[in-house]
Amino acid sequence: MVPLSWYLSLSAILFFLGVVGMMTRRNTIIMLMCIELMMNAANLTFVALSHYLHSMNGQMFVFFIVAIAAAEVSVGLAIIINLYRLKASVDPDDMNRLQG
Amino acid sequence: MEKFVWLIPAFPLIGVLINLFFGRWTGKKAHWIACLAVLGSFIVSLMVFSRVMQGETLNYDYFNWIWVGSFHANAGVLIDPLSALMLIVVTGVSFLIHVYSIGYMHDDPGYPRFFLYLNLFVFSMVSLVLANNFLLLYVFWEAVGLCSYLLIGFWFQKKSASDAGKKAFIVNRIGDFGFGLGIMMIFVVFGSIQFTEVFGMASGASVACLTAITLLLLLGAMGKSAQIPLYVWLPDAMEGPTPVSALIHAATMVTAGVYMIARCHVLFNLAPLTQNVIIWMGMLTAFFAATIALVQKDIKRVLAYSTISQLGYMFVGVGLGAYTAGIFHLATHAFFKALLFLGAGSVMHAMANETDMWKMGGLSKIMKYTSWTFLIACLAIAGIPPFAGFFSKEEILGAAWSAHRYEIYALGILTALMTAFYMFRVYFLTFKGTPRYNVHSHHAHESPWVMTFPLMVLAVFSVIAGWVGIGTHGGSWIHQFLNPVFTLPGSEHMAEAGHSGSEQLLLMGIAIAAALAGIGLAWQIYLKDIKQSDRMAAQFSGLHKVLTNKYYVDEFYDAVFVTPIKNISIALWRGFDAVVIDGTVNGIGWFVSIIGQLLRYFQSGYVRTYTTMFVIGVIAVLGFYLTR
Amino acid sequence: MKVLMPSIDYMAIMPQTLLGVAGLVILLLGLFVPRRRQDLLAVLSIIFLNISVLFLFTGKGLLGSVTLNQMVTWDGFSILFTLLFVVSSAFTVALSIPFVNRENVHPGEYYSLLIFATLGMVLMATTTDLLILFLGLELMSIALYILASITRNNDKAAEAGMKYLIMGAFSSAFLLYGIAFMYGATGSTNLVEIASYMNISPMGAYEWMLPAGLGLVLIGFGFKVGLVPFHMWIPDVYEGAPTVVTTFMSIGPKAAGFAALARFLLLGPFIPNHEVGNIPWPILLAGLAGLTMTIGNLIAIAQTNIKRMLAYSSIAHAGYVMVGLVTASPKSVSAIYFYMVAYFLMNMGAFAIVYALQGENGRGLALKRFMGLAYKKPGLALVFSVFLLSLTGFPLTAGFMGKFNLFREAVDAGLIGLVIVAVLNSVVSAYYYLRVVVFMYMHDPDESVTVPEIPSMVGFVVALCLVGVLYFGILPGGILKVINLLMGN
Repeated sequence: MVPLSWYLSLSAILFFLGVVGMMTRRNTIIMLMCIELMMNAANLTFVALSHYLHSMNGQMFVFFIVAIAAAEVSVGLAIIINLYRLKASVDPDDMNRLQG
Repeated sequence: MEKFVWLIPAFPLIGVLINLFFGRWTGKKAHWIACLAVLGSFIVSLMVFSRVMQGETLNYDYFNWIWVGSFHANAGVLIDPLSALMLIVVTGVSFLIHVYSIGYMHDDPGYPRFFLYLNLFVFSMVSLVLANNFLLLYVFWEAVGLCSYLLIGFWFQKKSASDAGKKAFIVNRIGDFGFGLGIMMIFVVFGSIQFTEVFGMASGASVACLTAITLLLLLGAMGKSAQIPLYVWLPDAMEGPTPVSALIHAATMVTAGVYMIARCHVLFNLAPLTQNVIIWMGMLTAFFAATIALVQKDIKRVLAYSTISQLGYMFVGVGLGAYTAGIFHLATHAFFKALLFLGAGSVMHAMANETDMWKMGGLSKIMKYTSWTFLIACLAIAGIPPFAGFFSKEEILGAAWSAHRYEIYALGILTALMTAFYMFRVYFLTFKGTPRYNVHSHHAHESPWVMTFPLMVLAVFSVIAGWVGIGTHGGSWIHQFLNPVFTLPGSEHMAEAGHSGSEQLLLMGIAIAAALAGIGLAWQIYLKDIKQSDRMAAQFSGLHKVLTNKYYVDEFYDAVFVTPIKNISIALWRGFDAVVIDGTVNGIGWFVSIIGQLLRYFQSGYVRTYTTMFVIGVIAVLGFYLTR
Repeated sequence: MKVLMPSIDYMAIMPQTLLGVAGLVILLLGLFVPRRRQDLLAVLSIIFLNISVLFLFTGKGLLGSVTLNQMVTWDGFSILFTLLFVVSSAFTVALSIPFVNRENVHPGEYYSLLIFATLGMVLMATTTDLLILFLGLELMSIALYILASITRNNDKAAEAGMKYLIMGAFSSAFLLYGIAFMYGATGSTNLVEIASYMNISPMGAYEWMLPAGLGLVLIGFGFKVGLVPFHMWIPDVYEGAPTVVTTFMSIGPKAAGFAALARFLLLGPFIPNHEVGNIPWPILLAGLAGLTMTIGNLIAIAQTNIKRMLAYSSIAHAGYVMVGLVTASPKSVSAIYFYMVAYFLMNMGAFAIVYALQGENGRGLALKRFMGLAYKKPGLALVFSVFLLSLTGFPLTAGFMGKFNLFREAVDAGLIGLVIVAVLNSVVSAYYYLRVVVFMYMHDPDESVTVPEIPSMVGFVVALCLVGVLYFGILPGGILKVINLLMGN
């Protein structure tokens, strides 16, 4: 029996990696990947807790999250492609026309 | 009665509103609305008067106005013989003056505005008389002051007129300050400001309290009714149109102070010190003003000082406790003083607004009606029976004698002599003798009937109005009418006690003699041998100079009060207001704006910055937990 | 194997179903309807929106119905917020008609996205389950990401869409993580059940999970609403997105976010007065509220672009509404709702006028452009002034009434300090709102600027908003009574 704290620590680390990636990476596609990482960390938490609590609710939730994350990322990619078409770059630091 | 009493102030108020909003359309017809309004008030006042004569009184609150904590002020009216009498005098004289103004102000571009202000004044004055509590009284006290300011400065493009308006308002304000303090003290001591309640409780307060209260109230009366030392605005107020001088500064507004003291007679009766102050103040004012009137050459100025002097008489009357006498003189004075002013206006109208009597003369041949009515008024004010002034002045002087205030009586007689003298000086200089102006360039003519008709009505009243005072003390009609107001069970009633018939005849004789002496002197100097006046002026040149310059009182006030205050104000404005206050306020604004601009730099436009700030926020929120 | 069908009250989910169907239908029709007749789609959207609302007023009424294992709950709160969302969407659709014509936006996509966003908001307001809450939030957000960048050739819009997406997804991840913790602490994702598990911690040593989860959920919704320091996307996204979309974004999602947060209040897990895990939540929330108002107002002072200024102003308004959340009394929820209604009216009006005045491609939005507007278009300037005064909180307008209600409840609850901060902030906000009025009335007009023709639809919407602002400002009694009644006060 793997202790819950291990699962939670793992997902915390993954989440933290995702957050750091968001703060530091200069590529929007990578940023999308980091978001995915964070969401999956949450998924992991759900599954672990669901198993520990013997309740199916958590795993059911994960299905929804996966579907929504997919939708979100596809929309995100579409937006980034449009932006690339206009600016020829995926570097978020190039996109600072809106500021102040 | 309450069903129609409210119409008395309502009519002129409606007149104000109509002329205010539709003045552009009423234009030259503005007088119809104004005059009808005041006529309406007069008719209702007559109805009220007839009811009161049958013994009805009224103390009715129309609506709750201010209820804060234990402070209650209602919009209510108090009708008793005193207010009923005041109402018909005020509305009646106002109506006549409204009619007169149709002719006098005919060519003035501010015609509708004039009637607007006149109506506003009538509204304020009748409301003042009707009020049944101190706050309401105070509000309308201020309102009549405002109207006075507006009307004195009616021709505001003239600097002297607008200055006079300001002077009137400011001097009044000083008096009103005392009045206001007095009302506050009344509330603190008695817990109420309703007349009936306060007067009911009056005897429970200490004499010191009552003296303080009454002295403060007296301050207000001093300002409004132009007594020493707050009289200086009234002569300057002659800058206003003559109907204004007649209405406000002779017949009605200036009498508000006397009315107020009569209304609060319960309080004053319990403060003998204040009463003494009133007597001396009134008498000194009467004497003092009469001396100035002796040498003035502007006809309106003479009448102004005469008003101040007669007001002094009224104050002497109420100060002695002879309230009926004071009010009686108030009423008769309203008639003949208004008549005198209107007559002067008629003369000015004929003489292209000339006011210097030395440039008039011999007008009685041209202006018959004006001349005769003016003469009647002069006889009235001089105190010649059977004209009105005799009876009322006699009452006051008689009261002084009965109270064993012989020094007051002596001064009063002396002042009566001077009154007769200067009034007939005016009459002789203006209407009699040879014309001292160019008869051919000045086309003097009698005034139109809209102006002479009121003169005649007032003249009639100047004759008969005094007859209500005929009868031995306590028996005359006016006494029977007003006595119930001033007699409270247990309160001392000074000076009305009759003196013996022979004593009365003696007093009457002295009074008539003094009046005749005055008239005789005036005839001697100004009609028979007019050069004599110049010789006398040269002989007493020092005294003459002092009197002509009104004892230099205005100059004194200016040096001691006005200029220093003005300098302090300028210093405060430049030094404190501009630098400290503006600096602080603007400084705060600038500071906030700077912070805003600094914070803008956080919004860099880089997404990574945003996510970083987000994470910092998360850490802060969660950290908040960790520290607990 | 038997499949157990859960008992579903179909009437209860009719409004949501209808909205979903509407979105799909319009998307499909968009392929067939010719360009000239695309307004038809707008009309169709509005019709669908209205029909969905009709179900709220059916004979039996939806009040009190609960279905799908308490995932959909219709109480007064839900009804009121649903009405707000549907009405604001209808207004936006009306406003969009000239926009769609001008900007070559595909109408089918556009209108269906609006409807989907509305569906997401309605879901958020009518649920007591964290799953559906998340679902609604994401539905609404994704639709809005697309809408923000729907004018494909505008680089500002594209940038706005990107920033919205990145930040939005980022915060959703936090939200999810928080929900995970809450689930872990209580074993359920249903708010009602969570409330009942409040003091019982089956996790023992993991009892930090519930407060941590709550904190993260707060952050997730706080992002949507615009709490500082999670607000940084708002100015950029509001400025970059097309003005009509900004209008929609400034009202709907904000109200939805507050609805979600208020739902927590109503049911308990989040009652700030209740110390969960020994954390004095009131202080935290009050601090966030104060910070939000202050920073929103302060930065707004320095703005020169009107859309950006209005963006910061909406941040500040979110701060004011947070005061209502800190109060956490039943009456304060009514006050929050009323404030959202007032905010909807005045914001829609203001943005509609900005939309009408802007030139090609989103130009013409600098504050200087407003100089002398009163001389060129006096009616418009006057109406705009009314909206600005309402945003300031000037008496006789709905904005004042909203603030008054909120702050009165807060004062009754003893939050005097916070109310003082809020009032001071209102004073500061008067500067930048009235600055526009000053520009309009007291500066000479710039002759080089031509003011475009106002589309009639915009005029219509603006007129309705004006009537609303003035009516609710002068005679709020009626609607306040209805709100209180439905909220169960």
